[in-house]
Amino acid sequence: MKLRKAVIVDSGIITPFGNGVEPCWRGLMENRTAVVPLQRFATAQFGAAIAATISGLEYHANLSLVMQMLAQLSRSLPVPPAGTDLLLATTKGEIDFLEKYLLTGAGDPQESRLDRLLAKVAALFGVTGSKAVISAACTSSAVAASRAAAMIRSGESSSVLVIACDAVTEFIYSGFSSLMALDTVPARPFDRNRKGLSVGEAAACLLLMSEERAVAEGYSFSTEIAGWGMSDDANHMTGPSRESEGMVRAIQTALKSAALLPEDVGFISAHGTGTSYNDAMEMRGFHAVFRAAPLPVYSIKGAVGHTMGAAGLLEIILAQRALAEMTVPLTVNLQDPDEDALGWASAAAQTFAANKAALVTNAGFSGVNTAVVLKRL
Amino acid sequence: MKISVYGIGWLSKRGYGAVGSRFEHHFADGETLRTIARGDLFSRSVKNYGRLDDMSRLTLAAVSLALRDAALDSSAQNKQHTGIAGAAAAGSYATDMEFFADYLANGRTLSRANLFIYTLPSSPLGEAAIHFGLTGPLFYLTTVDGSLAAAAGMAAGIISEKGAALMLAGEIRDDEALYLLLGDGSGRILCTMEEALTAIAPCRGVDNMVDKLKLITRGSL
Repeated sequence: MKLRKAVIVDSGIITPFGNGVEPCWRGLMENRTAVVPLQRFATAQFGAAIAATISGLEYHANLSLVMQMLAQLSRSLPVPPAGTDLLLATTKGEIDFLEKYLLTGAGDPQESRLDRLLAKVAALFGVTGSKAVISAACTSSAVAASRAAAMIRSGESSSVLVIACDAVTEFIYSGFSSLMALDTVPARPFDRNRKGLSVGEAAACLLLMSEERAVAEGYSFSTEIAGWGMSDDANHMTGPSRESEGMVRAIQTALKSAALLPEDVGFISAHGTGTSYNDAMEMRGFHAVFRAAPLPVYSIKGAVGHTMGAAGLLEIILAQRALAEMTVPLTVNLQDPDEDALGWASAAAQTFAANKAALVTNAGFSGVNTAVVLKRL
Repeated sequence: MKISVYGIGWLSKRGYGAVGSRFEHHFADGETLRTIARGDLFSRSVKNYGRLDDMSRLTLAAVSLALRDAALDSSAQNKQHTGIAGAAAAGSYATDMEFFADYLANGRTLSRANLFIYTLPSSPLGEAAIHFGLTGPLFYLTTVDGSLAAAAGMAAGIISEKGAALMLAGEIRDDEALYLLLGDGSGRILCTMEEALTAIAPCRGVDNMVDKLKLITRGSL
């Protein structure tokens, strides 16, 4: 049976490097980090004092941080076509409203609820179809992109807008600090000396369409979400499995869903948080699946920090760019690759063979794992 | 592919039960989810149950009842390819308030890591996955309305594409919970998913939903 293809017809990102894919791509390729001393709130009490934030956002204003980001993003994206469905991915959405209420007594803390954010985002982007929020820790937007592609493949929808957002707030920063998850210097994914993650913020959007509708309505496209896999370790709330079996299962499911073999993958955009356990878990999984030869692997989190619920979608969009450029970005801040990452992650840009697919992996609290396969058409 | 319901677990202000096995427990005066004997709900003790937030307790209890309704023996040692899609309009709002208020009460210096974990709306589902050994897809979702139907719809999609053998789909609203165990129709079924969702669509409150589901699964509707 011929499966309906879910093709990417439009996308946009706003990151600490600026609005659009180009400044972020340039930052990655030039080995720059946007993780800098944090000015948004006092940090003396925390284990770290750095983050990657978007300049120009106003904290505890009338508009939440994520709605300020999304307002900028919406200006670069045309109103989606009639009947487009919406999947919104986030972990903490407008949590700054709750902070503001508890700090000053101003506003309504219920405005931090995700169902309320959903209504605002649907109105901002002019979405007229069904609407849902999806949240699965740091895999939130990878899950949303996967379900969007599944809705198109099954015929349930012909057009789905996926939107992802999360912001750096005192709420989140204090939480990661209490977990002792923060590095004092910008995150160093896959480095032997990595000590933790850096928090970042971003918003991203992706318009997925069935190939038939995209052609009929005159959209140009070059990439499809060809496969996806999701799993849970069922092991620990905050720590990944020491066996990596959940990540392996997610990758294998994604490859099967895309009707591809491991040798069809050209490179991997890893979750690569910079924490000791996550990066080791992912590399174990990659070694288990891609046994024949090392593949180029990179993480963007040394550059833009861990953007939480937005991470997966941001990484899918940048992997699409890597496919188009036939270039695998370097891993920013990588100086001394850990033994398991030698020959895989690199401090220099890498290349890959033509006609190969991209694999994007993410993982998060509760033991969730995702893998998404992108293919050039 | 026709998606079927294998088990139904529920908790309301009146009590808790499982529809297929006709198990019901009605709260006595003063009895609540916090005070009941856990042996009725769980075949094995739940780690740190006393320290869990209410959303996690409700999720664990409803999932336990739904799995037992389908006579499934799930555990951390006996993992199975079952996933979970859980809805709750309020999400982690109560824990969010508690976490940040506690942080402020501590002079904005220390926050509690154990509370922070539960400020993710998917964390109650994670507790269920760990306790019952659920290794399939896991995610929280919410819609402006009708979240149970949305959760069930996404769960059905995952079963159809063979992303999991079984999926739990449920919703928590106003301290009440309803979870359905869904599969592809092989084995003993209670009703189809479509029948269940159609029956409960006009209902308000879990008790009303359970009454309708009893009629459906016993062939009277």
